[in-house]
Amino acid sequence: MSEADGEGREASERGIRDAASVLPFLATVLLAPPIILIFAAPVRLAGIPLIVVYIFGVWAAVILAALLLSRGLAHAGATEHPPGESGPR
Amino acid sequence: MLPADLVVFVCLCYVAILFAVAFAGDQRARHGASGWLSSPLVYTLSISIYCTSWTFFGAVGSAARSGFEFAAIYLGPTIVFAGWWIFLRKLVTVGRVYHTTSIADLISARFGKDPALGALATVIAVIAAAPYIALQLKALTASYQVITFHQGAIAAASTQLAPDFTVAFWVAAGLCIFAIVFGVRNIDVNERHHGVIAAIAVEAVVKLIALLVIGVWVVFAVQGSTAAMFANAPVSLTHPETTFGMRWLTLCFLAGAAVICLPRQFQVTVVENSSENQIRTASWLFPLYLFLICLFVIPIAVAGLNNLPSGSDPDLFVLTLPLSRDQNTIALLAFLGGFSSATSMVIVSSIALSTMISNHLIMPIALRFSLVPVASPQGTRSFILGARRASIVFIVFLGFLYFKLSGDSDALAAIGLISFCGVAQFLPSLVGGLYWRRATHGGARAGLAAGFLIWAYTLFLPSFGGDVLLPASVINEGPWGLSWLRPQALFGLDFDPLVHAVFWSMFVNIALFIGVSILSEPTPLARFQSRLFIDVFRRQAEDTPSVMRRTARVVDLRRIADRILGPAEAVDLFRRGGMGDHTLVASDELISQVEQRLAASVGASTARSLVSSVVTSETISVEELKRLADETEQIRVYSAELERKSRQIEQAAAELAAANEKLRAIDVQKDEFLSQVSHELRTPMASVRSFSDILLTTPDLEPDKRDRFLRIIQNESIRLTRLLDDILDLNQIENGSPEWEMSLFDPEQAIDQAMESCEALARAGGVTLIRSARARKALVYGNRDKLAQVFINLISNAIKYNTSRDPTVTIAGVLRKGTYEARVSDNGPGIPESERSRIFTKFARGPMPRQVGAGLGLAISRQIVERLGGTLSLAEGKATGAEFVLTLQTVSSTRAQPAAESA
Repeated sequence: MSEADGEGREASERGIRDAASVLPFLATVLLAPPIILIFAAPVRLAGIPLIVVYIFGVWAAVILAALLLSRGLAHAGATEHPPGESGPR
Repeated sequence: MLPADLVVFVCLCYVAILFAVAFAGDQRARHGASGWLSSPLVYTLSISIYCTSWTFFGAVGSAARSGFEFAAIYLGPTIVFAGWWIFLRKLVTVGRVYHTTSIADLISARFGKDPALGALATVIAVIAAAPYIALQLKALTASYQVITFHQGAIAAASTQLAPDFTVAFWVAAGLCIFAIVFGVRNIDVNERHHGVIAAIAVEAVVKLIALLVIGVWVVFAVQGSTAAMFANAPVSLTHPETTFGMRWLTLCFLAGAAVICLPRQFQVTVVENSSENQIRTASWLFPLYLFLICLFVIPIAVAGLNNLPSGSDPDLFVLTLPLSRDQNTIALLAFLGGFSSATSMVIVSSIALSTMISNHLIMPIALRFSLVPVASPQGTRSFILGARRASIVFIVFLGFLYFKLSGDSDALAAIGLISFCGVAQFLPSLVGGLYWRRATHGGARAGLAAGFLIWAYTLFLPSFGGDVLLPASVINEGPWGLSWLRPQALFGLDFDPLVHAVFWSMFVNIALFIGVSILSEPTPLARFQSRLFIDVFRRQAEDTPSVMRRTARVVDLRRIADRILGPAEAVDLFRRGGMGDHTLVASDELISQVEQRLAASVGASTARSLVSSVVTSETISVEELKRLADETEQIRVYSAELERKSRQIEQAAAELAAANEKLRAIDVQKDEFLSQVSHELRTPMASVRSFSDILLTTPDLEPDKRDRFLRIIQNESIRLTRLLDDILDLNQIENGSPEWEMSLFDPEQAIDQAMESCEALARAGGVTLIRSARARKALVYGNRDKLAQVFINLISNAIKYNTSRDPTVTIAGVLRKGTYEARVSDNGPGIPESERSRIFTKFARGPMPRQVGAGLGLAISRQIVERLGGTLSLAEGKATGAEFVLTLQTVSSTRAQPAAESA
């Protein structure tokens, strides 16, 4: 494997870790006022209130993002391990 | 209505299946093959005890009462788990690596294994758990009463059924038995309970399936279509603008905190965790579980509101909806789902809390007052197990007591939130402990205690309603009529009681935690522990044990290990520790190992006090500790040092580059010099050669012509000699050799001498020489002839390059503050700006056609003056002509020579 490959992989691993750190904050912003108030209007999509679609949509998106990130972190995080499972107490 | 016998029978069958699963799980784990038991899926399913009967029944109730509020309870944990990389990962790793047994254990271990902190955390956890366990008992009782109600579901739904405490009692007793049988069979390392976890996983599947089945049935059989579902939705669902305010944020925060801080959640998420792989999968699988649980909550709530008589208890819609349509199978499934969610919660909660009670309350007290039987190893172990079993009964019946006291007025969600707010008090110490080195046990104690008291006063005590624990008058008007102390409106802040309680308790908790931590110093042990916990992802050096130096007799240590761990395990531990039978004094390492092993069974602070009782001397090397603790500081210093060094290197490189540039320039100059010299030599040589050729080839040349040619040859030879003299001169001065004859003289004399020499030249060029000023009594140390040579050069240059119509050259000498200054100026064309910088270089000549000479004069002059310790420069800013300024240090005549030497 060339050095450039290694660097590229390292950069993408860092990207995944950064994304994993950003995800909860993004989810919080999307689910807290004022953003959520935009979708709290009494509007219906195919008979379903917009807010229901929004909350469950964001929820599903967060789960999907967490799934993809956990796949990525399974490789990226492999390099970073805590000390032996029997550390001193 | 379902016959009570059938319901009881189904429940017993279900419990029997759970027993079988738990038994199989324990068997499997005992044979060392954990396999599917430690798979991420089972781990995630065990975490889903978060969804208790409060979720199973209460989510629908909450949705029917107040719209979207229920979702906040599941969105908070979703965010916490999706963001596992930030906090949960560290928490779980700390718990796994340091064999944490409970949340109280983690907090007390982090703050120097402080027993008081462990006890305080335990008390808070137990009291906060009571409402939650009561909630489960209430849900179980109510669901049983409804499903077996004689007049049918419709009647049951609209009737306020008084809780049947007999049912509640038997349910509580049954739960105690299950928890004791599978939760407290042995005192295991890490407090992992494989059997219970397996049973919990099964229950998690049952409750999810139950809720999904009811949801699908409601959507397709009751409502018909998705659009019809929301056709008659209540206002809170169709106009949700008011839902998303402070209360929404508070609920999200509380739920997020609770999913970490609830003792049972801590138990399944942190204590039972065995690899990072588990938590990584749970980061999306657990949110997905929550998502599925919530998916049909709104449809069920709407269907319940539309199809059941008004006044029906919305908390039981999940059960009463199928019953009202005579769907007995679905109703039974719903009952089983609720049964699952309630039982699993109570079982895990009571196990987690019993560990805390025995490790942090009973054991420390028993050890202090020597209540632990020491006669046989078996005695101590059974004492601990007995303590835990008793704790389980105590906890479950504390919940039962709360249920009886609080009556039946509260909705499920309200009771659950009281618990959430109580356990959220752990959050500051937990987060601060894992990230903030300066956090001290004093800060944690103060924050926890204050937060707990405020929670109790503003939320827990008022929850019983009027006159049970807090008189109604106090709740409504404040104690002693002080209205600003009203429990639900401290200082007159009168908003939602939950938001109010969360705000005040967390505010005071965090403020005290930070404030007291800043004001107090951590103990050495706390400092050590903070380093272990905060830097858990950094590779720990092997030098860790060297921080703590302890000595203990092997016999004593062995006795303790025998008592707590049992003889078999103790032998194993000591053999692995490399202890021969003849060794008398245990090493630091062995002591640490024993303490660690004990801590996994009885908690860090108890293990420490046990080991400390036999340790004969203990020193914590504060120096060593500081060195370790300051490692981060060291890294910072080191990187700063690196940065400084690289800056230095950069600077050196820049200097080298500049030097290189200079060398190149000098090289170019040298080449130019050489070509100039060759050129200068070549012209006279050429004329010498050609004229001598003519003289040789034409012998019959006229005499006057021959004389002229010979004179030319002579002149050219003289010019050549002079040029070579100049070059030699320059070379000599540049190389500083040989020594000149030095003496004290008046520089004005050198000027006189130079003017005399130039008079002929001046006259020939029609230039007027003016001597404008003379310095009096100036005395310099040096070589007069050389200085005269400089002036000759300057004056002759001034004459040669002066193209003015009335050319004059002015020479002036003045004495200025011990410095002799001579100026030679002319009224010629001056020196153009572009030439000013290079006229002192070799072979530089003025741009005028009349000029002669090699262009070495000024270069030589400057060298001479510099060697005499003076300067020669071109005066700036003269309007017409050029002016050269020569300065020399003078010597006062009284102290002549010595001072001059140094000049």
